[in-house]
Amino acid sequence: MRATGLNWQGLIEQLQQALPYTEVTDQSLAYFKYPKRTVSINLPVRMDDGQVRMFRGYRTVHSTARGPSMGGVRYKAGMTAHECEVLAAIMTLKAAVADLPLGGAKGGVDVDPATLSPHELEGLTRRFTSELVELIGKNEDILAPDVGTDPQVMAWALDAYNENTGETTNGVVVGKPLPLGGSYGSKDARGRSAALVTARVLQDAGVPLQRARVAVFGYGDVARRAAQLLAEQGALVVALSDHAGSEQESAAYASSGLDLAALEAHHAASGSLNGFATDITPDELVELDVDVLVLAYDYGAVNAGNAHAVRARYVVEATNRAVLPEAERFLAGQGVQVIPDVVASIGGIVVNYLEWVQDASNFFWTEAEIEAAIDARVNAALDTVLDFARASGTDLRTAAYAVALGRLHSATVMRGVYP
Amino acid sequence: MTTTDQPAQQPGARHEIPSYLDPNNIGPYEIYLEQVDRVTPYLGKLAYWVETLKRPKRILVVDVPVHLDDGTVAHFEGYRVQHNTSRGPAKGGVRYHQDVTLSEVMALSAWMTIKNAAVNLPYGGGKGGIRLDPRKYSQGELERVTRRYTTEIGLIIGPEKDIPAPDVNTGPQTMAWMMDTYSMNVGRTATGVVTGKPVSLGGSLGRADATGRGVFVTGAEAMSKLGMPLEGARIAVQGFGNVGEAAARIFHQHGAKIVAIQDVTGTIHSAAGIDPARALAHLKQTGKITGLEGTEEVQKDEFWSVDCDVLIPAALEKQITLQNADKIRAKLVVEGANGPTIPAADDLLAGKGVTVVPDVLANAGGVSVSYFEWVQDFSSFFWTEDEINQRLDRIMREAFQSLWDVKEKHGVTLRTAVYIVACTRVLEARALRGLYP
Repeated sequence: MRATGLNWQGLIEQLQQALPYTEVTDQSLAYFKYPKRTVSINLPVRMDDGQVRMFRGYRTVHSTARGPSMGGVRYKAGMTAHECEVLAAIMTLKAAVADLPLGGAKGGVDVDPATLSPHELEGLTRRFTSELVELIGKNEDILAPDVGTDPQVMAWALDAYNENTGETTNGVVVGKPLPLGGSYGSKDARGRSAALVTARVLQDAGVPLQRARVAVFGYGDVARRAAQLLAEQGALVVALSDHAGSEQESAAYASSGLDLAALEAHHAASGSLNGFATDITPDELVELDVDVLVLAYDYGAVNAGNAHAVRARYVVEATNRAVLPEAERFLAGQGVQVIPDVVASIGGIVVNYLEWVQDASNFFWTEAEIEAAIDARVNAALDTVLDFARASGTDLRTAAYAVALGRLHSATVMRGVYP
Repeated sequence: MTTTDQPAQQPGARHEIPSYLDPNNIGPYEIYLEQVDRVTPYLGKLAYWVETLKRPKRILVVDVPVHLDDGTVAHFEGYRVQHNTSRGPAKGGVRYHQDVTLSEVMALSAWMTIKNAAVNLPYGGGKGGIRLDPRKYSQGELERVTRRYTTEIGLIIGPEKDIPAPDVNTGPQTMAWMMDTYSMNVGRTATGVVTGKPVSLGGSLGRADATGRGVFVTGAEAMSKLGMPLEGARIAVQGFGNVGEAAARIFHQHGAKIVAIQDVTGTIHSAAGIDPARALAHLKQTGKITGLEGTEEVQKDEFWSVDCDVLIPAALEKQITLQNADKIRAKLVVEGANGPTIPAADDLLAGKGVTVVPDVLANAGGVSVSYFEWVQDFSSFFWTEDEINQRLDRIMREAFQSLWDVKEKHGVTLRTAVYIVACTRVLEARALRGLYP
């Protein structure tokens, strides 16, 4: 149902819409159009059956104008260099919106991790890291978990890097387990920022969150945390969908609101959201008559194929590029407000930044300190974007892109052209 | 570890002894190996990795040749052992002593792994040493030895690899020489390569009181668990130096009553309580602790039978023995010194229901401030003494709590809990990291 692939051209066109509101020139936008570096690597891995299998891996560093690059590593069937480039560019924008001293990157391997044994996954991760050892580093390019990777994968990447360099450098990887220099709040941060930003945008528009009907597309850490936090503020979460795999998609709907704790227990016991309330499909969830639709599973959930059926007044991108550009144009025409990824999901890069800061001094903060630091940065970014949108009469995405491009532009101009 | 803590299941096979140790005279490392064996049954699935605790990651033996003042060249044996780096870079002191052996340095480095993990600092364990009697050499000779040794082990140390610190017969001046030599060799100022530096070279405030403060914090936590009020609690302190004086002073500030103080010059007692500030002033003025107004002098051995609630041995090792353990009337012993209780006396105290806060926990305030020094060196941004004390209190309280939880869970002493917690943390990190490549 989702459109395949991310569209580089679509992103550039959206950025160009922001240009009139900034002092950014086409010349400086050119820096944005050309990622700094994309590496394609071949990864031979000895499989459990003794055979050697080759995997394709990629790493794009999109920009280092504002600092070392940071971005996820996704293990996903059909992963391409092009996908890395688009997602790395979005990371650059997010870091700039959040005003972090970081650039954007993204990497990945064309593999379905569910088809590998833990041993094969470890071998693949160690080879991927070793192939990149000259290019990554705490002051160069920092790896993070993403689709198909988790704290265990980050632990292997950390170990492989440290053994290669002979140092204990925690900051080369973020999203690590706590005993290895990880940070509190890693799992929760994106859901936290999505809920925080949604609540504030609704408040700004004078729409009460109390009793607002919310549907959440997804059932990962982001979706569950966002649903829980919105429910805690009085919203009615009426639907959630699980995308455990195309064969096992499930979704639950209850017009009076779902009991999230009971749903979680049901999911833990049965592995599915079906059989709890009214069974619907994820496709039907997108079309529900709700006030807020939170998109928290992969890109392209709302696309040209289903945008016309969306009935929500607010669509929240809790994950990158959840609304594809052509769908967004259509929604804007219908008066639907999209709360864009570069604001709603910045909690992820903010908490990763905070982990990196802690690793730089090897001094670790409490959970309460981390949560306060995340909220402060998300609120500051949102303030800037809301002010900009109000002053220039643009939508939130255009405002966020204008803010980000302005910051990148000034860094680029001041650094000049090397050599 | 006490005999009552022995788990039912004992590992049958004896551990393998590395070929570089003498099988007929294994030395201190054997004690450590036995400690690991005894705690293995508590480790659950992590026992799969336990062999990694028994083998030091890396051992470096170096020749240290230097010109002596008389124009001849002397050669010394130097060691640096990195026992484990699963949780972070190696960390541990460098000692200068004529009797240093490889087995001793190995054991000390392993105990640093245990201590750092027990307090939850992001470090592995390391230790170094040079076989020489520093009393026989001039300052210039010691400086040349230190500089050559630093250069020889320079391949494997660094702020993110292995961070030496002062130990027996080394101090802030030694650390300043090491920091200077390392910095010159790598071509940049690298203050974080050693800790225990002078404050003017990237050292940390709060160091002088750190160990005594940790004794107070862990002691007060234990008292609260045991339902003993701090206000009016009667404390006896052995040792009135860096550790004992600070611990007594801070306990006094919090409303406790210091009823007895013993040091090398004598023993004083006062049921009404002694003001540590006045005791210190008196000691400075007269050169001895005895004769302080309002106190009575008592015999050395009577110190142990003083009626008190908390006993703080903060002087030397092997002070609480089978000769005096049964006389102790305190319900709580907080070990400010290293190894003040011999194992048999430890069993006796446990049998009497006396709680012992073991040295590894009670005197970890020192290594915690070393950790703060290293943290501050990364950003070259230095904290106030108040900030240091606050953070020290937090580390000590959290360490105490996690050890207490394990003590309650397994019904063991705090000393055994140290090994269970530390080995679990190290092996958890090992399991997550896996084996390279």
